[in-house]
Amino acid sequence: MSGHQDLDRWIEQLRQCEPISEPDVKSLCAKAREILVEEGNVQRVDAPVTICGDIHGQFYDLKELFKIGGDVPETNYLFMGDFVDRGYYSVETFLLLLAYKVRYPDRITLIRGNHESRQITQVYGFYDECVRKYGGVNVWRYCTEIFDYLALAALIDGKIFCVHGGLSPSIQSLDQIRMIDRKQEVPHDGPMCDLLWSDPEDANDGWGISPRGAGYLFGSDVAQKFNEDNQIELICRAHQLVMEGFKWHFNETVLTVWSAPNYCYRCGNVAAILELNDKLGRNFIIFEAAPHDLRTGPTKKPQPEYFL
Amino acid sequence: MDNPAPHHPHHRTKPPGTLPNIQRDYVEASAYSANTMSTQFDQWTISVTKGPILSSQCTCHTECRKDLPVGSSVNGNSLANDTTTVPQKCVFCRYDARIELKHLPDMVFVQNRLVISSPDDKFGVEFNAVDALNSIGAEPSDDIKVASAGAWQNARTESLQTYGPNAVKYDWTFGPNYTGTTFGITVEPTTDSLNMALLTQRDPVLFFDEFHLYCDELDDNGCAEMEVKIRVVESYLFVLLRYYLRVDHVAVKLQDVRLMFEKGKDFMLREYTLREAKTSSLAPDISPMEPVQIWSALKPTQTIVEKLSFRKV
Repeated sequence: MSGHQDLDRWIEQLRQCEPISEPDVKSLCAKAREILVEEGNVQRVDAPVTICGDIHGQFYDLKELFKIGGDVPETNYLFMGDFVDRGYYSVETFLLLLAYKVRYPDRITLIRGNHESRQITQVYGFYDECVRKYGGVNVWRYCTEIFDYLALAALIDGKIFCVHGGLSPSIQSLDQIRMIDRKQEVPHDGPMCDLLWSDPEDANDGWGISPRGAGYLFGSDVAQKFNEDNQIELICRAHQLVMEGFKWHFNETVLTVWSAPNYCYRCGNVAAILELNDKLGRNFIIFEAAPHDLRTGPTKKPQPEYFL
Repeated sequence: MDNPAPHHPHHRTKPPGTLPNIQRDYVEASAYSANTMSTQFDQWTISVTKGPILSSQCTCHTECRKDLPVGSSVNGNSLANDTTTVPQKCVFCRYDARIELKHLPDMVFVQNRLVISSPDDKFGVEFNAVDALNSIGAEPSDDIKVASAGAWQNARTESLQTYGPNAVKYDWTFGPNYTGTTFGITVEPTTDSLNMALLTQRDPVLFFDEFHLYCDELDDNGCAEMEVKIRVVESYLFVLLRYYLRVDHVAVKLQDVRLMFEKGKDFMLREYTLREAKTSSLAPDISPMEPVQIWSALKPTQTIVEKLSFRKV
C-alpha cells in the first residue's frame, strides 16, 4: 500500500508540472518495468478507450487533454507514442504518463514512438532537458531504459490496430509483430523500425521509399490488404502533424491522430483525440492549446534582437 | 537594456489584399487566425502577417467532408446536423490552388508574409510562403541522403527486391530559389556591399518581428526551414530571409538573403549568400543546431549583391 501512497504523491507533484526527485524517478521506472515487461508487443485493449497521438513534451496541453477527455482513471487512454522531445516539459510529461501507468495499469496504455529512443532524444531535446533539470544523465538513462519496454502496438477489441508510424513490408500478420524482441533501442533496420517510422502515402499504391533514403511509405492497397488479412477495421497511427488534429487516409482504412495543439508553440494547429465507445463508435474531440496564462514557461513572443 | 521597447506607432489591420474575414467552422476551428501588424519607415509601409499552418484539406463545403465517415461526430455534433453557415472559401482553397509544389513541407505558414511598400504603392518587396514554395525544384540540388540511409537500405536488400518499392522523388530538402518578390522595382547587379558598420551599431529598435514561411522536420532527420526577420531602426530597415537546412550528422546549409534600405536612398541592397558544409568538417565548438554559429564559422561559397532601384518611369 505504501507504493500507492508514493505514487499518488508523485502524480500530485507531476500534475503541478514539478519534476520528482531522481531517486523517485529510479523507483518509478523500476515499478514501471515490472508492469511493461508483462505486456505484449501488441497490447490488447478493450473499448471504451480514448486514443491520443503525439504529445511532445507539451505538458500544459496534455493537462488540457485530460480536462477535455476526462481524467485517469475515469477515462481509459491509449497514447500512441512521442511523449518527449521538442516541447519544454518532456520530463514532466513522460513521468506523469508513466506514473499513471503504474498506478492504473489497466486504464492507460502507452506504446512506443520513434522519439522514445536514445538516439533521437539526444538530438531533439529530452536528453538536454534531463541534464538541465537534474544536473546529470541518470534520469535520461532510467527513462530510455523504460522506452525499451514499451509495447510496439495495441489492438482494440481485435478490430482497431494502433501503432505510432505505420506498416512494414516485412510484416503481414499481427503474429509477426508479436514475435519481435522489442527490448532494445529502436534499430535502423527491420520491422520494429518500420512500425515506428513509416508513413501512409496518398499519391502512390504499393510500397514506396522516402526520397530521404530511409523510411517506407505505404499505399492504399497495402493498408487494405493488411486490414483484410488481419480482420482489422482500422489502422490508427500518429507521427505526422495535421492542422485539423486528425486525418483520414485511404477510404477510412488509416487514420492519423495528432494531440499536440499549436505544435512547437507556433504552428497554430488544433489537436484531436478519438473517443471510442464500447461499440467502437467514434467521436473526435478537437482541442486547442492551454491558455497562455497557464504556462509558466518561456513564450514565443518575439524579442527584438540585433540579428545580422 | 539592449532592446528598448518599440515606441513607433503600430496598429493592427486586416491583411492587405486578402478576402474579407470568413466565418470559421469547427473543423477549421482554431484560436490562431491570421493577423497583421503594420508600421512605417520613412513613409514606407511595412506589414507583417502571421497565421497558422496550412490545413490538410478543404474545410469549406459539406460535400468536401466526404472523408469523414458517416456516423462520425466532431465534439459530439453529428456532421449531418451541421446547419451552420458554410463559408465560401476556406484558407486551404484560397491558397492551395496557387501552390505548384506537389510534396509540401510539414508546416506551411501559408498566410505569413512581409510586405514593404512605397508611399504611392508603386514599388515594393514582399516575402511570402507561396512564392518561396513555388521556387523549390523537383529534386534536391545535391544527391543528399539522411545519415541512416546506408544502414537502412542494406538491412532491407531482400524486401526492397521483393517489393520493388517506388522511389518517390521530390526535393525533400525543400531548397528554395527565392530572394523575395518585387513589384515595380528594377533589379541590377552591383559592386556595392551592405553597410555592416551601420548594421552592427546598437541603434534603438523601432520594430522587430520574425516568422517562418515553411518548416519541415525531415521526418526527424534534421530540419529545413525558411524564416524571415525584420528590424527597423531610425536610419534603416533590414530584413533577413534565411533558409536553414540541417541533415543530422550529414550536412548543414544556409541560404541567406539580406535586404537593407537606408533612409533617404532611392534603392535597396539585396545580398544573397550561400554557406554549406559537411557536419564532420565543422569545428568542434560549432553547433550544427545553431544557424548563427554556422554563419559566423563558414565563409560564403557564393555571394550575389543586387541593387533594387525605384525608378519612376
